[in-house]
Amino acid sequence: MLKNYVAPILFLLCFCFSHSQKTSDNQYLPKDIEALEDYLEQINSDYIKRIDGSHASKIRKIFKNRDEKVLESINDSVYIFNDDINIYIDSILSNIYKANPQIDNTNYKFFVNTSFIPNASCYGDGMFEIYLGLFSTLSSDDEVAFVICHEIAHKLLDHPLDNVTNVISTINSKETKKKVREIKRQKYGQTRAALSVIDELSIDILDHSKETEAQADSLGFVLFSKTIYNKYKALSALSKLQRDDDMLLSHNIRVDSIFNFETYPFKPFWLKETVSIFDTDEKINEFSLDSDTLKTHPEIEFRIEKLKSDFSIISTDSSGQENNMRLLINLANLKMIESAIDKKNLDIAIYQLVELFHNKRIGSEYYHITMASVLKQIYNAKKNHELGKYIPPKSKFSDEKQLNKIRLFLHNLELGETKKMGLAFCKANKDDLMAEDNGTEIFKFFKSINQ
Amino acid sequence: MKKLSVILLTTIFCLSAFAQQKSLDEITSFRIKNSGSFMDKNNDVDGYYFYYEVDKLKKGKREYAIKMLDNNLNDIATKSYIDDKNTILAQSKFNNQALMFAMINIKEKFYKLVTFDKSGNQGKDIKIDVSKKDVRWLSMMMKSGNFNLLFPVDDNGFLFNYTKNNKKMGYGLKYVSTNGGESWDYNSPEDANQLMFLNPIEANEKVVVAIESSKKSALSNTVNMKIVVLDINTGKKLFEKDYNRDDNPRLITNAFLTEEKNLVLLGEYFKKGKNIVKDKSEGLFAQVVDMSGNLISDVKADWENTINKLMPADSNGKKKKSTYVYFHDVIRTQNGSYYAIGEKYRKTVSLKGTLLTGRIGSGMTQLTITDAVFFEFDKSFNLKEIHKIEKGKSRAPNLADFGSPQLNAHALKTFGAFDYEYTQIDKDRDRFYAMFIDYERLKGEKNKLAFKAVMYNDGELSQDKIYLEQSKGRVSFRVLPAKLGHVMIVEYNKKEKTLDIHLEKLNI
Repeated sequence: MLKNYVAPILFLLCFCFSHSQKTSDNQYLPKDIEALEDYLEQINSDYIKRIDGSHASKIRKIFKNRDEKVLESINDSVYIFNDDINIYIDSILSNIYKANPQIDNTNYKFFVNTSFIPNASCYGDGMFEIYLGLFSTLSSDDEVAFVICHEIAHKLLDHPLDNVTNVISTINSKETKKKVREIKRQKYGQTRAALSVIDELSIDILDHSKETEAQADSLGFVLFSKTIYNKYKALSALSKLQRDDDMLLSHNIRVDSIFNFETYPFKPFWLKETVSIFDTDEKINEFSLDSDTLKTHPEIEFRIEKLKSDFSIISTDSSGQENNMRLLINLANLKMIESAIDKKNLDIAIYQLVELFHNKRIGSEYYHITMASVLKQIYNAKKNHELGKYIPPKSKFSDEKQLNKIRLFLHNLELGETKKMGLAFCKANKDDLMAEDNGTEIFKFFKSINQ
Repeated sequence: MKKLSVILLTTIFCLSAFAQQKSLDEITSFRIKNSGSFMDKNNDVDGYYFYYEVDKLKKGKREYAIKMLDNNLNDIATKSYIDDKNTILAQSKFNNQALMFAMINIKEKFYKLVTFDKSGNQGKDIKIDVSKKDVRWLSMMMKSGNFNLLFPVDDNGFLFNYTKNNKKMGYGLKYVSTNGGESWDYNSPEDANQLMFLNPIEANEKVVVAIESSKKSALSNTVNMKIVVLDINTGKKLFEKDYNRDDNPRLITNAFLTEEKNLVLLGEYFKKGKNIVKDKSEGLFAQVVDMSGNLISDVKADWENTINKLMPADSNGKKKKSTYVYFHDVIRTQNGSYYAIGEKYRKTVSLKGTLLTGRIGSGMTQLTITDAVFFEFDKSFNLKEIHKIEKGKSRAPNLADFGSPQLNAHALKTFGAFDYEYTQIDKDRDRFYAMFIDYERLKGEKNKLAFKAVMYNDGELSQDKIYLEQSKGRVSFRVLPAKLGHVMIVEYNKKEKTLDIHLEKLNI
């Protein structure tokens, strides 16, 4: 049992030395990219080789394309290769493998996606993804371990191949081909008839996908319950993901007070909306399919209840392995901010900065210098007429109300106003900015453009 | 950012992630017929539409899809619409209460007005039977650029302006109320012995102001103008003011209704007997009339004594007598001052044309268009200043050598020869944005094509610029109208074959 704690302690030691709010630049490329590319090609090619049966060539092509997409994503800075985060994930994996020696993890590799969305995925060939957003949504090692067990279960049950095979064989089934032939013979209403067929196929495919999710929950829980982690945390992990189903970014962002300065007060028209052509709360689509409203994942409530009944879980024991996770959350948050800024997702960067600052997860100096740097980027993007390339407009149908508010504000701001606001922000937080070279530099920048 | 593939934009929109199978995909491809924007009288864009043909139905019918985006480019609705196979969507407008689409069917000979309320429900269609000749004339009038087919009256209704074949070609103006008021028609006399056209240019909850133009035949260059003011609740004529060639020839560019309930008319005035299309004007005027048609004031700024004295020299430092100004718009700001927006032009010999034919005088002249000019007038229409906005020269071959420069300028305007694009007016913030295309000739650098916005804010004019090519031509840009103070940038990367569409605020 003692051995089970070695990896987390090692992780903790490494982490304590390296952790501070002054994070290093995000590492979007691995130390040895060629070795990683070779590895990915190898596992992909091994995986593809064992695909046989009907439609094998089509299925192989899909997996081949997937591999190419992953390679492109690495070069597009979709992943980060951070030692601290990798050590943390390895420490959890080590506990899972130890408790489940039957898992052949020879080709397993976990990549860390910089997205703020709480998610994880299994590619089938040995590659897995853990999203940074998972660390800010979940709050204990136990919960992260359950999510990882769920993904490993997908791999053990060969779900990625199963899902793709199901899609290809459904689309290419005799029944579907017959329906397509009949539609082509129709003189009138071909498109509507074809849409109806697509809808039927989509519902079948989504039903199958839901089944595989429930299977992964079950096997994942079996794997998880053998580990040192608190098995009841499987339920809390799922319920935290449910909480974020509708709105991922739910912290109230008071734009009108954050950007209100004595030297440059907030102007109400920065939050003024334009008249919309329709007053509806939902998008109108008279060509929508029933399958459009179905979700890939079964409702989380249903999954929680299923787990409870299948495994007779009744306790809500709150103990667990939380220490490492607490430290990692801060690192993950800083990495998400850096990544958002690097990708020019400045709306998300503002949201994360404000949320973390209000919750006292980042210090005043880091907050003010980083926010000033975001304002400088907003100014430059506006000057070059490219803000709209990086920050989507407000959408009345989006559940992300807080993000919408920031987007409306950023798009309503004019270049001259951004310039003045940047200076007002720097003046109001002069002490924090002057404490660092880059803060001083940003202050100088806003002074110079306001002359 | 809206990242769309070229194929997506021009032919289909995605229906399902599983529509991978080619045959199913082919069947469900929506064929695009046309697209456009919902633009109001201030050139403010309320949204965008795409008109697709979806399905063939029985009895020559088709199912169409009208996809609508809001003014932030968010997909907001896709409505099904069933009509005849030859029905085309000509124009669409929004009046804060409803959307109206003007449909035209040449073969079946009808116009149709289709409305959707704010909940997206389709109202009762209005069908107007016409002749093929009417539709041909309508098409010609729309191409001329000075013709508002649909004119939204904010929070009240829509005006549908169309050609109507009487003894000679005439007009019909149909008002459709969207606030429960009366709908009406106002048509030209059926026995009129002149060609008559109407163009509504201003309307509010009380009146409609329209310019009625008339000429004896299609080839005649003598056009007489009249201002017609109608009661919006009844369609009854309140008064008209005649600006005919014999007594008081005027070319009216714009009209405004003031808070004092007066009508302000702006444009160019001419000597008695002069032709407003082909003669040089005497100057600019601002005329104020009350709602009974009584003249309150008529202030003029003439070329000789007023304008020429303030006219800045051309970019080469010279003032040429043969340089004229083509006025595109006259704007009235909220503080009562006026800005007349124009471009300088002159008739020159085309060296290229002369070399090609070896002689001068046979279609070998051109219009050389130079700087943009903004005439600033105070509340009393006293000319205060002429602001020159430097611009590269553009040249357009004249349509006829024998005509006056003015006649050629009017003709070339309809072919888009001038660099002026459009002006947006923001009444809430008392601003306007005048857009031009500029071919910058830079010393020591390759010439650059730029989209240039001249903006009025806080009593000052400033400029913003977007170059239309980057990375040695690998990335090209098109700049299109968008909501007030914004432009829609369509960015095409030739190498990566990607198309990015995004809205950007003009920089003030």
